[in-house]
Amino acid sequence: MLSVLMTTEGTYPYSAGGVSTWCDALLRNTPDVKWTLLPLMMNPHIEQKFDPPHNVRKILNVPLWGIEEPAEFNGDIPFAQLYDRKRRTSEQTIELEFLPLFRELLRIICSDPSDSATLGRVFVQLEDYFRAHDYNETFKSRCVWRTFKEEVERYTEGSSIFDLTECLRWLYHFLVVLNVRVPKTSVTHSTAAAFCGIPCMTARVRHGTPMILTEHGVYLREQYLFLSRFRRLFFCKQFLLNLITAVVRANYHFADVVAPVCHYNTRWEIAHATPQQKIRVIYNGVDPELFAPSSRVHGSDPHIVATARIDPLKDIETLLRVAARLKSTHPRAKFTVFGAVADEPYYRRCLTLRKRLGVEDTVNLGSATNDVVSAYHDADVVLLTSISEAFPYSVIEAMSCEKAIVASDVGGVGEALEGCGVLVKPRNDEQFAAEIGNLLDNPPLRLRLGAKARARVMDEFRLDHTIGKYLDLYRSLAA
Amino acid sequence: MSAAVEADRDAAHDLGQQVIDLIGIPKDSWEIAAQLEVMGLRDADARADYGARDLFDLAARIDGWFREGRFPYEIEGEDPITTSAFVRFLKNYATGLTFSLPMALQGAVMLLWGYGVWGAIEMDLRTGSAIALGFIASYIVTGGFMQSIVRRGLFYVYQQEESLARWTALRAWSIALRVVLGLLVPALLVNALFKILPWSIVLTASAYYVALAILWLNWALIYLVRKTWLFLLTTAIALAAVLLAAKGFGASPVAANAVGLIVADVLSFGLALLHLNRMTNRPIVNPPRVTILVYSTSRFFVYGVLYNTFLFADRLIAWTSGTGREDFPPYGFWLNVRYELGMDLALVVVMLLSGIVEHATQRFSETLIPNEKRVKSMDTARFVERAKRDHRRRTLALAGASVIAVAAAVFVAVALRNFKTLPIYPSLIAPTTTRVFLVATLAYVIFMFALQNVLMLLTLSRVEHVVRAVAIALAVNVGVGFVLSRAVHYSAAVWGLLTGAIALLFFTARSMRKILGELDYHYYAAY
Repeated sequence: MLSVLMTTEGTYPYSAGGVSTWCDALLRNTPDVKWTLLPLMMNPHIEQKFDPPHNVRKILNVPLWGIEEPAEFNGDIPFAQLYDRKRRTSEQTIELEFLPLFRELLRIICSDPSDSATLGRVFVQLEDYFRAHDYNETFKSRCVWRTFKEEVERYTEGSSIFDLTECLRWLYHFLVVLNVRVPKTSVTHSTAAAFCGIPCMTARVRHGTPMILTEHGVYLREQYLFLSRFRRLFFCKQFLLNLITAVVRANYHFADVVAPVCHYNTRWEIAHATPQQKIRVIYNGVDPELFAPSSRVHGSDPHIVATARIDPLKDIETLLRVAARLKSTHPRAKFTVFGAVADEPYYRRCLTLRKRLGVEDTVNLGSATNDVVSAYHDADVVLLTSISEAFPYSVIEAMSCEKAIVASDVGGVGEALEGCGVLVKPRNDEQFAAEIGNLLDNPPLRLRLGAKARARVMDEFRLDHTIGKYLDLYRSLAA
Repeated sequence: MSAAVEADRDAAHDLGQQVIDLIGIPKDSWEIAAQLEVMGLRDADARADYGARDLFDLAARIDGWFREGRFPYEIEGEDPITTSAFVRFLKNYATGLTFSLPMALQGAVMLLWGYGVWGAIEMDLRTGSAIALGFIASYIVTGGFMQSIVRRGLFYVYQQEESLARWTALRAWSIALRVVLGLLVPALLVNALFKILPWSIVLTASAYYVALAILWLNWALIYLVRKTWLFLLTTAIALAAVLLAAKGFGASPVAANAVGLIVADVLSFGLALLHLNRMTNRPIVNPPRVTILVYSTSRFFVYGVLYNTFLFADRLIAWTSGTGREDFPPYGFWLNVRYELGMDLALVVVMLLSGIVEHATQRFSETLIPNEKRVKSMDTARFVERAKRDHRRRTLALAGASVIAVAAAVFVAVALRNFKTLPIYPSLIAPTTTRVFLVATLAYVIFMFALQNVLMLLTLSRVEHVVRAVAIALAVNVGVGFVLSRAVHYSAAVWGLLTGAIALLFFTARSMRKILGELDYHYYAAY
């Protein structure tokens, strides 16, 4: 029986979103695969958003924050054994066994993040070390701090004591995954080129287990964006981005197949040393039975629907401007944005803008729905104003529902929508409004585009096709 | 250069400035590329509008211009501190006072109207002894649980896991209550077997022990929700209830105390629960493993038990000694009012200095990060020197405040002698009281210096240093106190407290010196 280790980071089964939807569909539609799930999570005390199916035999949760002892959630190891590890972890052991590996790790982070082969070997040796020794005692030892200081000062300059403190604490959290002992499987599948890929890499080095890497977004790019907020802490930003770059490149290096969800993502992958021949794009798929067209007739007012969380990346502000423009030509048109509020200050900013633009009666923001299919059915036009996307489910779901779509031409959206929807330059509210107006005034065009979109889904973006491609990949690699 | 190329270049330069304004110093061109992408730019735009091959090429150009110094940029400094030093001091001092004011209020009410929440001036020595026994036992038994509730709870509060803070605190509270009640069984059995104390004392002591233990545990919950002013509020309301029961309804002192303690217990638990529930109403998910929870909290538990035992060991020793007693104790444990009065008067020093210690500890913790940010890692010696200098300055400030506090305590002790009608007047002027007061005052002053060190060590999570120091200090306290109280005079037990405080100061000062010498490491490891 095929067994697969799937690793996730900040997504399935603990949060909603595209990656989790993808994971759930893959696990649920592969009953013959024996899955082990390893979710890296920010903290251990969050509720599951998904109930993994029965073929998920084991879940190895790895919380990075919110714990005092990394062993807290490692239920397989009895406390007596953990205590014994603590007792065995002396300053001398750390100096002899840990520090050489730690120095090597710091060399890679600070001066050569592209030395992926060595990084993989170091990770395996660190895993071995932490099977016999305590993580906390090691990382919080005096000699580790001193070595960290010496090594970082050797490779870099300008760090304050605070910078070093923060950097080593972050390193402690990010490497918690080295404590986990994963079972041997036929294949490993990392759902991001991130720290969750480390167990897959070490399985590759240790047992030669084939590794697949799927990138939904581009992890490295997301981290660059996140750490751009560290304006005052340039040294920390630099150190962390070096660490992340090293880990991302190692993911690309050790993966047998890199399977991004769209061609757009391959730009970053190739630029970071992923050989072209390793890359095999597998588009996301939807269930056409579930996302089926409807002949239902909704209210008489034109209705524009967006399914997007309230987040700056979804550029809801442009959507509001589009609504304001459209109001002058189509005063009865209504907009509904279905999606949770992901960024409260941004939501407040949007509410202020909505008021300023005078579209409070026109745009309904932040509506929750459990029935996204009906949301699409109620739409005359589906709108996506995002400034950053990979291969969004909202687009292919709406396509499957035979809807006319106006979307910003970002990420892999064009790959889905080319020829069967309208693509607009991001942030261009004037063009968005014109295209929506055109579609509202031209029902036959809407129907034509919707039919083409549905046909495209049936040909290229069906869930069973997507699942089939992954299964083929697993089988060929396991063989 | 053609006009079109120049226009593209100008546009790219303007775009670069926008990106730099947004992110400050870019790490490399990838950071710029990521920003360009979320600005909605595509490869097609890079080509059409900026004359670049693609977005990555455009980002590399902007990065190159940045490295050439073509973009002005500004990085904001640290947020300015808006509170004045004096206001900060007053705030911290008031926080420190919230711990000692309930004690002061109870003392004042006792002197003015003769009643406290536990105890009353007109009580006979038998009941007083029972209350003293119940009080000390409750304080020692709950010490470990109080520390565990607060430390583990605050750990989760700092992690913004309020539901877990609530869960662990209430769980520890309920376990503690079961332990408090459970320990009564062996205590009563031992007394039944060996007939150490009469049942009237034992049962009264047991009742006070349970009621007071609940109160201390509730106060730990209140500390966790950071509403320490509620200590004073609950004490004031409980005192009012006692006075109403005694003066309004003619209740006996024990019955009035019972009313007051029930009010204090119910009110403090209700308020604590209210604030815990206000913190969160989320259910808890994935609670930590019990063994790990117990292990990670155990050092704080041990510290709590040792610390509380240290504070009351001398009284236990004094009141179980017959040497030099003027009141011929009938049982193995018998309260001595003169000793208690001497100790209570000395507490004025603790009350006045607690705010100073609170301020010093707060400032130590508040200034650590700004100081770390100011100093380059290559220059750690300068950071350490500064920390040592600050510590010396705070120690000197405490020394100055101690002189004032001692003067105030002596003033209170002398002033009380003018109130000859006070029922405690004969005890007040007794030489034993004066002797105990003077030694205890000195002991408490030294103890406050040690406590300042203890709190700073705990700020850095160096609990093992604290446990070691308190254990040694307790051994000295008990050893010296026991020998002197038996060989010289029962009141010489206070010398145990003094020598114990000196030992505590010595060992905590030594730890502080060591830790300040490597403060960069110890701050790093305090997570």
